Amino acid sequence: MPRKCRKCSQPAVINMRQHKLALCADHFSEWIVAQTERFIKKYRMFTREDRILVAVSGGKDSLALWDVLLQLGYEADGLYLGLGIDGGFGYSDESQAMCEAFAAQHPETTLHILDIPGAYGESIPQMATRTRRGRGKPCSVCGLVKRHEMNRLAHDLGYNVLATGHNLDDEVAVLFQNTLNWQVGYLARQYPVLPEGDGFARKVKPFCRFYERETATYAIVRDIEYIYDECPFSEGATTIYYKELLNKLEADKPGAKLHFYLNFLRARDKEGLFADWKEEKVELHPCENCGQPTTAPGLCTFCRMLPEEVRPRVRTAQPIAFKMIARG
Amino acid sequence: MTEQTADNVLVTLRKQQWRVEPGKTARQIMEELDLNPENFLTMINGQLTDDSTRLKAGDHLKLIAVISGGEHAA
Repeated sequence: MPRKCRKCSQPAVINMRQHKLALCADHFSEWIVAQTERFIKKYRMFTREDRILVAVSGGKDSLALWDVLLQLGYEADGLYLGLGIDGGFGYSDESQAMCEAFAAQHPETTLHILDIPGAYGESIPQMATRTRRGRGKPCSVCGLVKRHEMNRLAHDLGYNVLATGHNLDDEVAVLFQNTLNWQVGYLARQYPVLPEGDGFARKVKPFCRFYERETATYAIVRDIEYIYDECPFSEGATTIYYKELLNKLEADKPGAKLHFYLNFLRARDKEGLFADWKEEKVELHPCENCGQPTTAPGLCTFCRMLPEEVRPRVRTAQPIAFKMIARG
Repeated sequence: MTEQTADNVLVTLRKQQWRVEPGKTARQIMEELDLNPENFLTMINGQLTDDSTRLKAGDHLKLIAVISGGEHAA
């Protein structure tokens, strides 16, 4: 006999062993929405007065997050950055199509789309090749471009909160990696909310306490189409290696990942871990080209990476609003 | 291509396929295939289900990988 839902005795679609909780599709969807609201309030992420920009990739986490925030009645729009990654199966094109399909079903919201090759003349892999960053992999260039453009566009478009779909597996993999290497500065900054200030938008992770299998389940039961294929450059990524390692632990010790993360937050919030940690105060100033905050003198790292003749475009590159396309 | 027959269970994971004996739970099947159940969701005959469900002859078990990662994750 399949396991039954704790609330209604219908067949369960998921058994969350760390919570000793099995739920059917309807009760699981309700649970995810209610828990997300709880985390938003607990960590004081945002209120209904804030304007939220959700960074969407076409994957399960970000589209599920956007869906939950809309259900909860927040003013949440999407931002998709087209990275120009093909991988033999049109990875970026397919990811964008998933975001557009979601936006088309939610006329109350707007999807902003910025095509990076269209704006700056090069795809992410081409930028990585030209600049020789990342030892043959474009992941570090990709991270740099996304961080810069998301913050710039949140500012330019008038959003004060930038929400990402990071889940607990993402958070625990980073926590594990930073603990292994005793990266104290990174550990001290890891939190569900990074406050705004000095030209940076507030960054929030409302799904930080959901396992990856829960966000995937939510996307499926809500009929949200998402891209199953991984970014072709993620093969062999350290994050995936740590996630698999931690899932081996989870299989033997249900709840190990959740406790690792929650006990870290508790040690930080209640037991004074990092209370004496003084982050070296670095002086930020506006980049001479784009105006984004930077520690480097003159140009920020993103603008420095661009060819000189392309740099002026950063000041004007604006996304297309999918709502306008959809409505012709 | 592995053909499904009425006396076995067809298991698919992306482009891989296996035929296994009926009567086991989805979790047991994954463990026998040396797959960590924490890394997958299970769909039986197109319905999402928890992995304690026992499979019958003729059933189709689809495994959905849930791990994503890399610097790109958003």
